[in-house]
Amino acid sequence: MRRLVFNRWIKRLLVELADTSSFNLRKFAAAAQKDIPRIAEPLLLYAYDTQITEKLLDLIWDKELLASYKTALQALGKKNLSEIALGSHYVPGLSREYIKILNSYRVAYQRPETVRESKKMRWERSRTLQLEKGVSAAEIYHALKLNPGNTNAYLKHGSLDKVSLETATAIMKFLYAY
Amino acid sequence: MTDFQKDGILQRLMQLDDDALALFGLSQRFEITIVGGSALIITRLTPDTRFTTDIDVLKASQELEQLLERYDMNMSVSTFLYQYPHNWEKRRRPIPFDGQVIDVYTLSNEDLVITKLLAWRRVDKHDLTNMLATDCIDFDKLKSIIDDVTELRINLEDEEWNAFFSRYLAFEQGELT
Repeated sequence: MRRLVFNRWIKRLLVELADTSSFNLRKFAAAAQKDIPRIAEPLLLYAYDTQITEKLLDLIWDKELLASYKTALQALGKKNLSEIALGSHYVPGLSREYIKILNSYRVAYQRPETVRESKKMRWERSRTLQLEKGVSAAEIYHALKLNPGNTNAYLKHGSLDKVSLETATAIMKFLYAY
Repeated sequence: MTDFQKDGILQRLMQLDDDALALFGLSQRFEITIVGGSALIITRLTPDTRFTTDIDVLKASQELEQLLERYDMNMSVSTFLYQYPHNWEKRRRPIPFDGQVIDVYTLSNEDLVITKLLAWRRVDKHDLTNMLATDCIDFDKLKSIIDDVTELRINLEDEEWNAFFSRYLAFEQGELT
């Protein structure tokens, strides 16, 4: 399974937050100091991870932001951002705004596991409801127009990879409403 | 749709609702009160270009707490609850959300303003400027909360109160810097 790489994730985040189609350090630095202040923290983290912090600092004229950046850089030292994020490591002196970005990366990175756990919850509930209400798998896959083989594998054997999260949710809700 | 704007926030709340439905069934309802950027986005107190990565949860039913982190929701903001206006819960309002088992709330606009005046980060000043522009604040109501010693003054040390009150006066005049 291909895993989410930090600098690619945060670059995508920056492009979305700036509502543009491509990354531009100069434009993003200006935006951080004018109309999109919330881009400031992810921008520094991207610059840190890709070793372009000096270039970024040269573009900062806002003294408050510059001071904040220097404090964050001091706190980070030479630490690896992915390791901090995925290990939920405490970094003394790193403000909550940066920690939130790192937490968001960890949540995004763990998304495959989260989805799997969510499917499992839905499967367990669905099995309980299916047995309580005496609903056959055929009724379910006909009503929801699902693939019979995959639906059977999911319901009978808990094969979580056979259905999407949306389908697992739809099956559960169908059984609740039955 | 992006993960970080209104549709993305609502999708996360919906997945949380579906998880709660799976775990706990239909026998009880749960509550969650959100604040911060996600509250502003959902209630359209900010331009459509506003985004947030995480969802700040001020209060949630205990059963939901184990699930929050999965959807980048966290309760770290609740450590500041001691500063918040005393009766925020009486003034909170529901967010339109078609949950099976979860009811979602946020603070009143005036209480949201107060939280931003208390936090006073760059992003909070920016949000307050946008909130002024949307003309959504009842300044009489805001004043009555602030004037009521038992709501806010009582929670703050003198220095905190003086700083807050200066910011409030500047906000009232539309002079945020």
